[in-house]
Amino acid sequence: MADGLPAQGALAHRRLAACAVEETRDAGVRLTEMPFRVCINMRAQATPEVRTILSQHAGCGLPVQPMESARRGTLGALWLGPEEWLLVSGSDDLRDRLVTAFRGHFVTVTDVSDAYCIVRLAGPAARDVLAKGCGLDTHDSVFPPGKVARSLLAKAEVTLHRTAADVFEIYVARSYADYLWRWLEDAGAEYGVAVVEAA
Amino acid sequence: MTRSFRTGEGGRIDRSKPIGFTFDGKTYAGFAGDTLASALLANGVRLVARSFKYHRPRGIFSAGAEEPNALVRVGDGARALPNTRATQVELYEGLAAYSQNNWPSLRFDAGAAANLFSRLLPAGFYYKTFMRPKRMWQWYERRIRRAAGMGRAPDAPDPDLYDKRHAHCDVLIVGGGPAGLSAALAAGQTGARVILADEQSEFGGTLLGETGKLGGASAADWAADAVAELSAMPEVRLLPRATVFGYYDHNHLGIAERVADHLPAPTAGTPRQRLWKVRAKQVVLAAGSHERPLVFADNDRPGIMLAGAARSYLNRYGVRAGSRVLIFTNNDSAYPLAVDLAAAGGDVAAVVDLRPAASQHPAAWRMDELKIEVLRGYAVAGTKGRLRLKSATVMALNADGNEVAGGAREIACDAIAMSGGWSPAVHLFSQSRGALEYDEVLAAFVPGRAVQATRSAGACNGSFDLHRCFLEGFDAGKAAAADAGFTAEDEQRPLPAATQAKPGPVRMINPVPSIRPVGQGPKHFVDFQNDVTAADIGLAAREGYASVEHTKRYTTTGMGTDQGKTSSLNALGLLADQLALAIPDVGATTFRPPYTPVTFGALAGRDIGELYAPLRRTPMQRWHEDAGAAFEDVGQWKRPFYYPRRSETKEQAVRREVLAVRNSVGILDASTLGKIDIKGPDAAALLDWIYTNDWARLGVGRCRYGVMCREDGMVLDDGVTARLGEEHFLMHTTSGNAERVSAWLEEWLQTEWPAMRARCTVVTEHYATVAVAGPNARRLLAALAAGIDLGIDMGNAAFPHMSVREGVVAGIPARVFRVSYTGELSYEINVKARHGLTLWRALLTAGERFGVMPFGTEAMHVLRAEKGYIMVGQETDGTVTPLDLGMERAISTRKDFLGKRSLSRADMTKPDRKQLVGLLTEDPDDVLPEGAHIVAEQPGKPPLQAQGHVTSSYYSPTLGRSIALALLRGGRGQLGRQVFVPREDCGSSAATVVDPAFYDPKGVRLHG
Amino acid sequence: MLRIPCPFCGPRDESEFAYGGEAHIARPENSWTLSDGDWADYVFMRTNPKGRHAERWRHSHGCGRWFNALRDTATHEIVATYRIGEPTPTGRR
Repeated sequence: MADGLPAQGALAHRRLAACAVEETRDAGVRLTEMPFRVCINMRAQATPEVRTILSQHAGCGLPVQPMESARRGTLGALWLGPEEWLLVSGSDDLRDRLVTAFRGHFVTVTDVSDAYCIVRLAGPAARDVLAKGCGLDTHDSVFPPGKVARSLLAKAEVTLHRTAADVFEIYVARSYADYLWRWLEDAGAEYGVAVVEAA
Repeated sequence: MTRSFRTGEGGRIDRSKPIGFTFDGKTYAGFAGDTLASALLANGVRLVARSFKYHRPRGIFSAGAEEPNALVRVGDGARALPNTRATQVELYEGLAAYSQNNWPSLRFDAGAAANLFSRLLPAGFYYKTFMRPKRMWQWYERRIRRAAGMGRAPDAPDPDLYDKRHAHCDVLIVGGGPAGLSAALAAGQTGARVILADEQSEFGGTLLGETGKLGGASAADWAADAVAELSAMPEVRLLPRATVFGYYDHNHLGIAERVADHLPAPTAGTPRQRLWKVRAKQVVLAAGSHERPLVFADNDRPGIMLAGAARSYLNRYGVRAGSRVLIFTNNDSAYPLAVDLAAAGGDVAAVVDLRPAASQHPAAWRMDELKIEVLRGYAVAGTKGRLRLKSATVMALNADGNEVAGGAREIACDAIAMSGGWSPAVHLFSQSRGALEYDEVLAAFVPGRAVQATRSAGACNGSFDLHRCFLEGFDAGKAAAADAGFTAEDEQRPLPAATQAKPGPVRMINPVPSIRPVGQGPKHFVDFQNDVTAADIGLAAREGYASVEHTKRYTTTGMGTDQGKTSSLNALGLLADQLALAIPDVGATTFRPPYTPVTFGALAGRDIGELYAPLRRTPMQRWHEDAGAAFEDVGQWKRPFYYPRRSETKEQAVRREVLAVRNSVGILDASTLGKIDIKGPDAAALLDWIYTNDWARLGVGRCRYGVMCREDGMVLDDGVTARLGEEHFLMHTTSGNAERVSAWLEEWLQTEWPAMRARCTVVTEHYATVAVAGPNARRLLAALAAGIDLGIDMGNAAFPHMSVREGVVAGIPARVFRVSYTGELSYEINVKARHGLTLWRALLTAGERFGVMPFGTEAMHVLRAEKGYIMVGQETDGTVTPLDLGMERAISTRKDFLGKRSLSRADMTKPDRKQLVGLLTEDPDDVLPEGAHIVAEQPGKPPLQAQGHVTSSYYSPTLGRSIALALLRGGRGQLGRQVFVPREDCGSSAATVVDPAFYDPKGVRLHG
Repeated sequence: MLRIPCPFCGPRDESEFAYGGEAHIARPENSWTLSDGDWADYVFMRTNPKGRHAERWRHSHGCGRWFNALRDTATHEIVATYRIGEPTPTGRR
């Protein structure tokens, strides 16, 4: 951690490192907790000026079409709703940079890094696992890689971000992380689940 | 009795794979590909069930989902599945099936005595007989249910796995017979996403029991080729053993897939059944049709079955329905059975056709050649045989068909294959709210105008000839795909040339006359599953049941597991005759889901046990668990209720925790408190609208308690909100209410005040919150805090009550609020959730010298109740205004706010509204039950006028006595008066009305 | 379960939405001059028709936006959905 303090991710109590494996060939799905990403909730009217400032200071465009995402380097911008995005980054100073950059604009940036747990669901059976608990149509023709949507997965609200053909990043409220992790392990059991540590 | 009815060859069974199974404990053998029903028939087992009401012996009646008789329990112990249709159970090695509804055995059933008294048991018998005395009904009901019954549910948890999943498609096709396969081929080749579901193990439907050739190949081979072609299409999903049971709004359909019911046990990790929730852009219904029985005298003896079923058993399973089969029909469709039976070396006793004219069906032309006697204009007027059919009495009909005449001829037979015409399976179409139309020629209801995006094709559309099934199916599949946006670039029409004659007319004679009038002597069964006879329908009509829906409920016809699949049209015809109406004028009953029963397992899926509901965890949850906390459900959170030490009772633990806070210091995990970050130039203006008090002039770094109301003036939520910057607030809501309050703020911002420049973000989970409360709270915090002037030396001014500071606590960046819900000097520390556990542990360590104690929600409730602080949801219930709670001072006169106008409505200002008060019981150890009613006088005989109720009630360790908060009519004008709380066990408790602030009413301690 | 076309996210299952009652009921600006009866009309009285009904929904487990829908209360047909501030469509298709 950047600040050097001891920190616990939302799934720390599950001691995932102890059950993580290297070999995942037989697993239909691989589950990974992606802890301590910087998540910023940004609300703004996506005016050209706002988009320019964001791309100058964060290096990333702002997706204005519903359910789209943008990515540049380590920074991702996920459309959450009209005038609302989730900016995801590895760099701790993102919020401060944005606050400074948008001073004088009616643009709100709020640090919500610890409000989420991010679980990466990958593998050939990823879509089948999601289909067990989510009414969203994840077919390539509707929800290709790059798409993002808030929806329900089992009984938890999630933000689903399809980052590759068989990879989904699931953002879930931290308090639901344990429930959702157990649900994913259960739903994936039919196809074989491997727990993998974040790179 | 052990002779085999299996043919020498043919059928789709695998004769190289014998399978052993048991029925009622007796061992039999069948083949792979058999159903339980076909295997029992092959073994000569005719008696398989006792009927529902009269306990009459019953045999296998059909070959599919419509089976009313052969309901069996499959499996033992926890895996037992009652009321399963033997006609749909695939045979597997070791299958154990049991008959139901008989005692002591199927052959000698004591309940059959009911049949002797059946004249006394007409429709509506129970309603008429067991009405008096009224209080006895429940006693009667238990016994009636035991005597007349279906199977019993197992009482142990099901060991198998059941699962659910969603699916989306462009075209969902229901039924994999000729029409369904054609539809799938047409839709599949366009590239559309197609799901084809069929309830059987094999696709093909009626093609699997067809003997005619299709373009040189057998019908079954054509089906197999079609399935192979479909399997190669990447966007086509084939679901065998999958019953589409429900058609809901907006093309949402439910499918029950029996993944492993045909196996002795599911393979590890896979479910036994899976429920599909399918959203289809377009639906093609190709569900086929159901044959109807003929309603003749004693038409229910074991050995009497539907002609189509007999043909299916012969051609698909290689089983003869009997050694000598009598065919009884009112239409052409039964003639091919006679041909097939003769070809298989079977003995056809005769064909009895209700129609006087010769059938024009090609199969009928061959009767002479096959030396099969055809009796035209004749009827079966009765049958003989107790546990199995022995003979049929055949008589000539008069010209009108309403009486039998002439001599009776007794024809020996051990099976009657009957056909009363066919009813299209319009169930799903009707569930989709499509209108049904009556077709006079078919004597059946067919689909009319569709309401949803759905099409019907083939037999379920009233098209019974094979050629039309293929064509209609193909066209429906193609059109459905086109409507979903898909067309084939190079259309292939791989349809076979089927030559099959159109069926001739149906002669509806209902009931078929016998020697004695209907209702006297033998029974004419209409609904076999519910033992409803033609006489019962007549009685209902005579008693004034003119509506088909009422008749259904009065006679129970059309109820049960088969939902009247074979009986509904016959019942309707009988009712129409009685009422002298045409069938369409009587109307059909509404079809409702499910089409066939669905197991609770499949409906529940994995939403059981630990996955039944989410359990929300705070960052410190693991510590609470390790500390052995007792937990309380607060919404979906599990919050520590109290932390019992070794042998402590709840009361002892709570007392210890309360006193620690009052006398030294305690810490509470308050992470569940809702938090909403509000930013923008108009943030204060927003709060002014939302809260009842004033916010504009609140200084940066200060906090304020606020109450918010709905537009009707009732309290919605409360909490402390801090001003973090000129344009930045952090609102606290009650636990579990953050989403609701956030939705409330968004509602107004988005719909009413779009120009207001304020934005709200829920940040509840970003922070871990620890409340540090008690006279030593400041000292404890001082040991850990850096960069925050706690006012140790300078007194309160540095960090006064209701203010907020930022700094570092235990090395962690923190925001510290000085607020109090306990009445003590108190802080709430927010740190990032990832550091919550570290902070919690640091506070415990640093607090050791003060004897710091973690306290749970129960202690918190006691502490706040001692102070008379309300809890939303406890003191409020959606009918309580801030005025009722005595919060006049928090209601601004300077501005408008949501709900304000309502507070001045006449009803809101009445002096006798229920108002918040405290209650002190006469006996200090008497803790009133929460929710108890309050009366003004010493309670006498009821009725008593309730004056209010107890909202919170505790034993207060601080005061050494019980305390209660209550809402009391005109309460604030009654301070000092005595009221009474009637008790269930011991008369009543007397209590004195007091101010709700029991402890430190001036608030000296929290400023400490 | 209904399939509701969110004006932003497209068709989604009903479980993602929250119902918000009748649409196009503006908060009176002059609440203080209204009689008790007129105020109660605003707070409590709704048309509750059988047939087409303009009503509010929120895509609460989605984009979070409130929007309006024209729905037939007898058949559940959703004739149209439209954003807050947009006029009610005629519903002809």
